[in-house]
Amino acid sequence: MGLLVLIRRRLLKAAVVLGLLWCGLADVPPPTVEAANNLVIVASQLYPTSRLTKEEVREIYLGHRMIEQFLRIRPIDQSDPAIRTAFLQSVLSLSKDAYIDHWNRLLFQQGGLPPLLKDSPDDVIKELLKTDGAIAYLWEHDAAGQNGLKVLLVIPLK
Amino acid sequence: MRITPSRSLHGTSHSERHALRILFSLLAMLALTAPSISEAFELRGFGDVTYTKSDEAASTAHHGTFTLGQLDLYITQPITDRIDVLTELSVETDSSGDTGIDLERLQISYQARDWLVIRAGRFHNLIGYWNLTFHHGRQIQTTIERPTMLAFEDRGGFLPVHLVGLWLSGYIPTGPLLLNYGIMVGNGPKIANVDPLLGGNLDPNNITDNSGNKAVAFDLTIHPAALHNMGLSVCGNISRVEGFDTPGLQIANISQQILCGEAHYVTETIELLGEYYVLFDQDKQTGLGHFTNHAWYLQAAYTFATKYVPYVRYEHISVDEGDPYMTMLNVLDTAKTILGFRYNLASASSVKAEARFVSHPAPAGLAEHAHEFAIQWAFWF
Repeated sequence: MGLLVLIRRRLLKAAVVLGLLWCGLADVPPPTVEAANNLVIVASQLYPTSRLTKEEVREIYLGHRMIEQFLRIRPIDQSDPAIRTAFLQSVLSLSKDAYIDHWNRLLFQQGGLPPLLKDSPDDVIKELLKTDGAIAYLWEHDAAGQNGLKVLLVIPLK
Repeated sequence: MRITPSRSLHGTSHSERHALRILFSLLAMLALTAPSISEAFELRGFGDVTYTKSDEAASTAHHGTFTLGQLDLYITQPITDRIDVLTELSVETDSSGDTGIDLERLQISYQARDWLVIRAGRFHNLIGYWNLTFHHGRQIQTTIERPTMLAFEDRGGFLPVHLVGLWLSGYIPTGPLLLNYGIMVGNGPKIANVDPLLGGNLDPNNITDNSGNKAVAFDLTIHPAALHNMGLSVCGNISRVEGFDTPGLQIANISQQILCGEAHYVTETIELLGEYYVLFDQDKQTGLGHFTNHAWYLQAAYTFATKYVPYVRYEHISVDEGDPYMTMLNVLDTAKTILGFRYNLASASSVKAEARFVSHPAPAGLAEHAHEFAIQWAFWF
């Protein structure tokens, strides 16, 4: 009996919210912090260059540019779909599926090393500090104040 | 490089046992390493099953035939941050039912700079777009089959699609243009066991080279920086090809230059491919003169809603009559039109169906025509 009452209340609440939305009296949820944030391309302080262009970042993440002043570049991806999608669309103009397909084909055609995939900004930062030549994208606020990192490019999101 | 089957009294050939051992080892490695795109170690593969029906009485598909495609397995593995190894094995069953293993590729590479990668081993030759891009990957090619002109050497092909030797390549961005170059030097092919009626097969000379004349292949591809999906290439392969009859006597010594060009435009929805090959042959042994052969194809496909892909291809092979090279390989004038439809079940699996109209033009009304229908289920794992 109690369960039925609960379900009825939830349905009533949902109907009210939908009705308010329909009438324009309620707003959709505000954009997340990340959606209003910038992307930054970061590397450790030992990375041999201090800035990159968007085109150079694109070439790195497509596997065309692999060496930076005698150092093997190791691009890092993030599994978080929000930042990964934002990066792929703004820099590579590719969907996630097309990006993975590109790398699968490249590895079949030439061999080589695919980008590393990390689950969180903390994991990304640890990898950047550990691996010479590692490069990654982060939300600007995740990169702010991190010792040992430098920003190579800021990518404003529209 | 084929490991020749030798069947034992117990019904399992040595090569089959060898194939099973390799497969078992690869699967064991797979299980132990739990690969993903984030891992350096990758074991991947392609496979397919195809049904073909032909109205040509002499065709092996005349009665309708199910065919197991090649099981193609490849591994890419870094040794250091500069040195990588790529290995590709193809397990296939021939028309007699014997299973064999082809070592398709074995290459070790050193990434010196972006503009210089040095590789040694056995490669896909630098001729055209299809050979390097798809090769055994039937799932990633739109159609069921390769263009006839790019058939594998052991399947009646007349272009050297593999090379054993050294490969230098690089990537050079130059402002508005992105350049990829490649140069290969390796064992030139030979044509062995030429039967007067059936011809012979092109042999890439995987183990030894029967002559001191090394083959040289080259490729230069240009991508407009503003249009990454488009590419234009010029390529070629220069070699000396000796022919041997069944007893092993040399019957030809062909000086050959292959020149080729390709253009492609590939996006997530549009695929436009075109390749052109011209083969200049001169038999130094018989002094029969110069011969020029042409082969080309055009292919177009369009993807609707990521799943539905109608496609069309036209192929043309024009053989210079009397060319000893083409005669030894039993190559005929061929025109082929393919109309097909592909349905992507997933990004790694598809079903394709196509109708083919094949003709071998000949003078005096002797032209041969055949109609084929084929359906294929392909996958990638």
